Amino acid sequence: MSQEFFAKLTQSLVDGDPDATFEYTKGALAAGIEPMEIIKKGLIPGMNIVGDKFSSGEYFLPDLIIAADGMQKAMVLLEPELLKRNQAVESAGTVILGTVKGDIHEIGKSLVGTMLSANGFKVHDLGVDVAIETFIQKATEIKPDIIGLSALLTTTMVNQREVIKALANAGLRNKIKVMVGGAPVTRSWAEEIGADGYAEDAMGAVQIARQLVSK
Amino acid sequence: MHNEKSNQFLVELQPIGRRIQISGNKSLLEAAQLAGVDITSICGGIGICGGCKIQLIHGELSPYTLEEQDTFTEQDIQNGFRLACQAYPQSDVIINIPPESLTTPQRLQLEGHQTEIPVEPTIRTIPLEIPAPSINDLRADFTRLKDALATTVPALEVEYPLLTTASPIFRDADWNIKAILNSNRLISILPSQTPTIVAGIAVDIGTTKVAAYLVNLENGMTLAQGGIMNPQIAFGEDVISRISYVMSHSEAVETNGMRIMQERIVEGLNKLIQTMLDEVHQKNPDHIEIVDAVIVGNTAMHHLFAGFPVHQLGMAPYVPAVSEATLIPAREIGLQIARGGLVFLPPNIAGYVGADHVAMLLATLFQYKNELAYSNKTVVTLDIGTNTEISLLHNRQIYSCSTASGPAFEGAHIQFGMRAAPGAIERVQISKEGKIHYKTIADQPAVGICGSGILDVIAEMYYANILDEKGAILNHHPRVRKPDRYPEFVLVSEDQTGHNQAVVITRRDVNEIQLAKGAIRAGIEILLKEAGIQVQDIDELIVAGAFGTYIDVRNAMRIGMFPNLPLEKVHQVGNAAGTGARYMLLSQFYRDLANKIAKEVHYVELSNHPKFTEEFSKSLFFPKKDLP
Repeated sequence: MSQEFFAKLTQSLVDGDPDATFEYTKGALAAGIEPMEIIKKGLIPGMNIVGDKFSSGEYFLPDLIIAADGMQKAMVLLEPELLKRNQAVESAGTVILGTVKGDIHEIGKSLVGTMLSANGFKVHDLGVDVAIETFIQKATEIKPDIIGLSALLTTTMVNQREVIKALANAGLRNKIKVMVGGAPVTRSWAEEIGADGYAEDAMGAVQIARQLVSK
Repeated sequence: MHNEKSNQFLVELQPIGRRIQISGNKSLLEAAQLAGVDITSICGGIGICGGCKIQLIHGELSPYTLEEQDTFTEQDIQNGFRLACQAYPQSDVIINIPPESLTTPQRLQLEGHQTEIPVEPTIRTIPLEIPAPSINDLRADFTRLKDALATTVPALEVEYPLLTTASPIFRDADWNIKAILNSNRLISILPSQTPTIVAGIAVDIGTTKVAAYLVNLENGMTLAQGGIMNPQIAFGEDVISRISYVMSHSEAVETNGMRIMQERIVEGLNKLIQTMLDEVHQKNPDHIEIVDAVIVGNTAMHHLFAGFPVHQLGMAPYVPAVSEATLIPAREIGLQIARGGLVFLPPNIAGYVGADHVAMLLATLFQYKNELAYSNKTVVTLDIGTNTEISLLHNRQIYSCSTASGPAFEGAHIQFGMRAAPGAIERVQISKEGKIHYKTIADQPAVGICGSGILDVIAEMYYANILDEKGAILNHHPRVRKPDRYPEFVLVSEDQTGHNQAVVITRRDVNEIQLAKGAIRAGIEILLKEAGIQVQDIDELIVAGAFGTYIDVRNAMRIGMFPNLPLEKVHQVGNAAGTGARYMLLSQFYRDLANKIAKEVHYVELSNHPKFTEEFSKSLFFPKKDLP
């Protein structure tokens, strides 16, 4: 019975049907399935399929947005239940995310955040147009495993380099991995500025993040 | 990375046959740009767009970069294909530029919405009979002119270049001259008896296209009009790429990006002026004296023309260096009009809502010396481009914003996308029986698809149930095939095209249009919210600009780019920015009005608007199929 719920939940995310995700989550809870099980066996597999389809070029932004919407609807039901049980989703690692100074593009960065969260990372999203000092302050405060820097303009991607320099100056560089992304960002740019990882899309970012925390 | 700085190499660009000597630290793209050969560079030379593909015929180049390895197949590499922006010469080289990498001749859109306005230009023409010098009257030539003008222009200003040339004109004209003035400033001196047309030019500098009008300032008639591609395209197709080029070429004088950009556009305008003059002279031999100029453009084009810094336009919060209306002496920037001529640049509203939008508002929202023409109406007016500027007039207030709609409607990022040139599919219909009808520009065999065609095909595919509301291509249609893992829609099959490849529409193409139309619709929705009104309250929707003139408005509504409105409420007005520029050339009233508008507009910044992401995400999807 729970297997059936999990399959349906997964499929509703893949199909992009947030209302169905919401209803199945409700049904699963009513059937007495543990919220952590619903997340791990129903929702995360669904988000991962969506992410893989996105990476492979089958799915596009609207598919991701609608899947994320379904995930969010489900979490509205699940979070209070987790709290009641004093449980938290097991953390795969801590990530600070932000779009660099001078750049106000949000959607790509937020999708990376959604996919990382769906895969168990604890994500601190600092938003857009984030000052270098803000990255450093937050990093000093919460000591994340990874900092993710987004830039969507050729005019602002230089600020990814500046954040990496500032981390070094603050003595944090060897304690924190840095990954970079955004439309104009390339592998060789990531190498040039000394980032630890680069991914083309949100699902790629999850894989890189996993590799970086296991190092 | 490239250390052969001192080495000079000869680069030969085929099939054009241009040669240029450059040093080994210059990429082939830079070589082509310096040689005046316009290679497509959408990404501005960072190796990701694949637009600047070239082929090495002879010689040695730097090793393949990671970007090139990502771009090319084994076979491409064997055939010597490179990205011009990634390859540096290491010996004398000969390269071949394939046609698709050259920015080709395009169809240019020029016609604007013509409305009659009174002719009362900023320029004044004053006929003068100046007493000739004699042994009893030894005043200097210019003192004579000053004295003759003393009653009408008590404080005459004459600049140096006119002082150097006026004396022979006085004598040749036997002291019967016409003085051309812009308030107190002397613009030009013309002999009275020589038949002369006093004219001005109005120019709209678009990121892609430049449109210019040569206008008779005595009767308001347009003498000639012309268009060119913006020559700055060789340095990046969009505004950000060009700003980024300027930022990365800020030091050495000979490669200074700012200077090169300004020189190229001024050079282009000078050629365009000459072409228009030649055209008029074929019918009318009279001398044409261009004594005034009004130039509009988006804020970045405005700045690159005027030589204002652009760095701050490339980064949030995107502020203009100069937003006030500006007068520039034409000779300072090398624009070839009358020696004392001034170029009027209307004000900018914001970093991404420029003087061109001000000009468009003048042409679409106002009637001459009236209050707001649509004072009791609610009007949405927009100009679709890489950035789409949108304004909403409601309750005599104007709200404006700019939204990043991207270059998809100009054919970029679309697999078979191209600009409006011969062979481009510009209209598509899919009949109820599923039969596909299309029309190409100049009725040439299809080679690609331009903006209006892309809009049509997406709307038609959606209404023919080939696309779902998320934009996914459904497999059941006979024209949908699956060459590898993903479905694509065959718009024109191999045997019907001009290059023996099928013209197909992929999900990626659909997605690009979703991003573009989503950004436009979200912009409209946010302005409606700011004004506290709904779609039903819109009385008129005015669509300006080249692309906007050619589109099928109903299809724009079917895909949700525009809200559903009765078609009679929608007006496609052509190059309204060019029309507004002409108004400012012909009437000082419009220059004053431009200043007033720019101050009064409520500019709405979308990038940090709390509702933007939500509206954009919603607008990505196709709406319910409730249109016929």
